[in-house]
Amino acid sequence: MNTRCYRSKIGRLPFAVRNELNERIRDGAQGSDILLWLNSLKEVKKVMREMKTSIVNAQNLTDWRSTGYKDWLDDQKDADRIRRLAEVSQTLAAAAGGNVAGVGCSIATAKIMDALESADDDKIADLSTALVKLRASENAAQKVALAEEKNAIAKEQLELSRAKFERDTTRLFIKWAQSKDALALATDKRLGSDEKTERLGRLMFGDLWESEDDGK
Amino acid sequence: MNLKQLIIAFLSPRYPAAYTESAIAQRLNVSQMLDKRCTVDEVADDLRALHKMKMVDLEVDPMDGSAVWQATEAGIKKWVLEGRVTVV
Repeated sequence: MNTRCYRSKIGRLPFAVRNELNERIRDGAQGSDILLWLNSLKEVKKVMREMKTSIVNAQNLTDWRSTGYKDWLDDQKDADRIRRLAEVSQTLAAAAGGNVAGVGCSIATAKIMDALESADDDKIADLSTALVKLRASENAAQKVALAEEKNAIAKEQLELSRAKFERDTTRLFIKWAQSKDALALATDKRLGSDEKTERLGRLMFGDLWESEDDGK
Repeated sequence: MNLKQLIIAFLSPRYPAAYTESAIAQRLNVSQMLDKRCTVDEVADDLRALHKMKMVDLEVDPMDGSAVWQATEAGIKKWVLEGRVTVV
């Protein structure tokens, strides 16, 4: 942590350099590569000149791993823990009916944070698990609601199509009832029902008409 | 590490939680990360300075009218760039 005072060569380097060094160690960079990079920096050369000492060496790096780097890792863990608690607190505040973007939710989040920060990790883990389950069930419920909504829309479209079909058919009937040819076919007692349908179909729709034989 | 940096180190990881000046002062003093204890007035002064720098936001609690502070995106970015030092 940069509030701690380190007297070593690496500890006296600027914060940004130490931070990048820590990140490289965490990411598994080789010691020799780290030293090569570190000793090429002008900030490092300046500090070494001021300390009237030579370059940062392997022993300095080993010492840093057990002091400053260890402290830095602890700080990162603290930050991650607090961040997770903040997420849990925000979820709880929102679940209680708070508007996530509202100031009330921010204040409630802070109050929940206070309680969680003093709780032990096992209880927080239980709470997190419960929240994950709550979210999963909310998602499942949302999926069901969405499927129901889709079904309702499909049903509505079907009803609209049926109504349109009935209206179009009625309009056609009115139009063709005024045609002498159609009337003659419809009232011809010599023709059976199928034959009448075929002939009337051809009269009304012309080439568009498909007889039942065409479809087979 | 100065008081302004510590305020950011307290508020940023806890975002969007918002705290009063006295709550922030109390938590900073408990953390023992300052060389000497800070007062609520000192915290309030630095919060106002950070507000001018757009590092924190001020909101008013609709329940009791008290001022509460939370980190902004800019404040959180600064906190990340400075190594995510956290006031526990």
